[in-house]
Amino acid sequence: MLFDASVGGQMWNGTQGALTNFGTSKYAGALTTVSAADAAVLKNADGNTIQALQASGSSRVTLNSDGSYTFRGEVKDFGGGKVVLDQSWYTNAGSGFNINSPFVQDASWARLRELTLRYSLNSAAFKAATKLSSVSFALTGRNLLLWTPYKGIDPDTNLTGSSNGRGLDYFQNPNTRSILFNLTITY
Amino acid sequence: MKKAINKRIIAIVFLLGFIPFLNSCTNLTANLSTDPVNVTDPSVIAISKYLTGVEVSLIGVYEADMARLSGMWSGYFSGDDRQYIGLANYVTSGQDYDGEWSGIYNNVLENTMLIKTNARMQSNNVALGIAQAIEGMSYGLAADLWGDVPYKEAIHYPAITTPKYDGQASVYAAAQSLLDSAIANLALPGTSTGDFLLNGSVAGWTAVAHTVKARLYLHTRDYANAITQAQLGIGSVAGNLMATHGESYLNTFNMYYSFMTYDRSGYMAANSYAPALLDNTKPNNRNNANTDETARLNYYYYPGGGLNFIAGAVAYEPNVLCDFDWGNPTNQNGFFGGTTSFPIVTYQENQLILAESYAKTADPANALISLNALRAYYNTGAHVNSGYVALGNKYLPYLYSDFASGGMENADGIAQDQALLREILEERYVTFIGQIEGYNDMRRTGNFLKLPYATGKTDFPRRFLYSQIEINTNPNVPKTNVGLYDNVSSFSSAY
Repeated sequence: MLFDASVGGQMWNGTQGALTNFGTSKYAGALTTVSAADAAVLKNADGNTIQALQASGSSRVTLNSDGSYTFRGEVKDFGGGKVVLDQSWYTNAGSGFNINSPFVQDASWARLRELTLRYSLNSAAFKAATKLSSVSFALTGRNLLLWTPYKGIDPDTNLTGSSNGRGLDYFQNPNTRSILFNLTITY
Repeated sequence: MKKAINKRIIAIVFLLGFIPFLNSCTNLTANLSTDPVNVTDPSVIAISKYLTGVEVSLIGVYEADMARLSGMWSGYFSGDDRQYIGLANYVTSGQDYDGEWSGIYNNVLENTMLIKTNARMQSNNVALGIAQAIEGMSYGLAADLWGDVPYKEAIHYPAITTPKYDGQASVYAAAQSLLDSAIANLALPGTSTGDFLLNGSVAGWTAVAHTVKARLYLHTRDYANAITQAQLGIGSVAGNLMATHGESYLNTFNMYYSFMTYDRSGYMAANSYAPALLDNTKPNNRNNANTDETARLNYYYYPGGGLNFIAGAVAYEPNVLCDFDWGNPTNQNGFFGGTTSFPIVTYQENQLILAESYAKTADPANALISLNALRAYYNTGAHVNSGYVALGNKYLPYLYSDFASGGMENADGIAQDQALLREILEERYVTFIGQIEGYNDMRRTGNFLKLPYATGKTDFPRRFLYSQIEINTNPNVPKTNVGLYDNVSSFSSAY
């Protein structure tokens, strides 16, 4: 059993930043429902209220039968009162293409790098019966578990490979998980 | 054994035969600097080579990132994809200006300093003068965009690694004095080999230096001097300082074309104020009985999209048509086409500096004469590519009475001279499509034309931010009143 860990450090989650811009990040895709009263006052980054957006015919807002409004995005308070984060935010100030600091995240991680279970048949009776000195079966799993506060796929990767420019995540592949079965026959 | 010795002798002779060649490589590198840091030691490279390089850098300053960013902020363009959406909505930080800052300081000013050193050693006054003219306009532009910038202590590496910042007004004054030196030196003996922007024309550079002086006097609201200098400035479009372009990507392309068609296609369209102002199908456009802007609209913009944008997806996109790539007739190359020359300092600007300066010094008669002289030139259709003229091109002279309340150019009944000034500034606005000067006008006049802000914004960016690299490495960077909405000091008082 092999555990690997890296403690501390930060990573720029450019993947999340880009996906947020395109509306395909799960953080930008939540459906939020607000009451009619809230919809009349809560504004998005363009300065439009949810109600005004719906009235302008925007397909980004739905008026529900109970009078509430549903839009894709979230309501957040940065300290100056509640605001609506929707497409006008995610493709603007909230986009990873513009401001990177919100996408710099804790890159600590610990993972179960490798786990092997092995069973060997080498008893005297087995040897006598098979004329073999031993047979062993092993099941190995690599990269089975990852514990990390990082919001991307895998902080144990790097955009520029094994270079000094560390901590960059922009659509590179994660570590692959693999499962191996091993059969060893000793004559 | 004998055979083996023979072989060895043959091999030795063979190798000895190479020895003369081993030495020959040094000839290839003779006279080149061996210093890996200072590879372009000025003492070994001809002034003419430097001059060409500096002029290419100057094109990069006036035609690339800074022009696109200021163009989006002044209604010439719109940001339509990825970071350009944010940039167009004033979402910007210091790192967006790293390239801009180094474009001026590293690419232009550091190298003009080398030209100047070399030109003085070789008594080449003309090259010295051209370098000073380029310096003057570059420092002037840096002051326009950032306000306080390093001047006195700039370009003194390694003696000074963290230059102090000089006040905007003093940088303007220094730029004027550099341009004065340029004009004086251009009158002395020397050669202009390497200058491709004006083909080595000494008279041409002298006129450009005067027009740049007039431009900067206009920015500092010294209208009397602006008039004096503009009268000595570029007298016809033949004297325009134009960036010439060709058909080679990453080499001679028009930089707007390269950006919009090759490098970042789809990032920047023109769902913006300027094309609608020219379009006679739009409300509040500037066409009237004396003026038909259809040719200009179609030369600069492509209504309805269909080039780098899907047809119908945008209201307008910059007109990138050209004969190659698009199979377009040459006389229908657009303003942002690959081979179209780009204006840096022009006769048109010179005339409009005169017009505005007269208008601001209570001389509407001369203001109108200057404006009408430019309109007479526009009326010939020579300001757009010939294939667009037939679409509609008319610029009949205005009468002073056209600006009286209720007149052709004063439907909303403001004071007559204000209406004239407004038309002059509006003519400047549409003359400077794609140029940084349009954004300078917007800021220094307190947005006299009421150009619209980005959606949901209550103000527009009053300056460029300082480069993040500069902030990180130079403790002298000003820290107060340098936010995006803080006016640079020379533009802060009422216009």
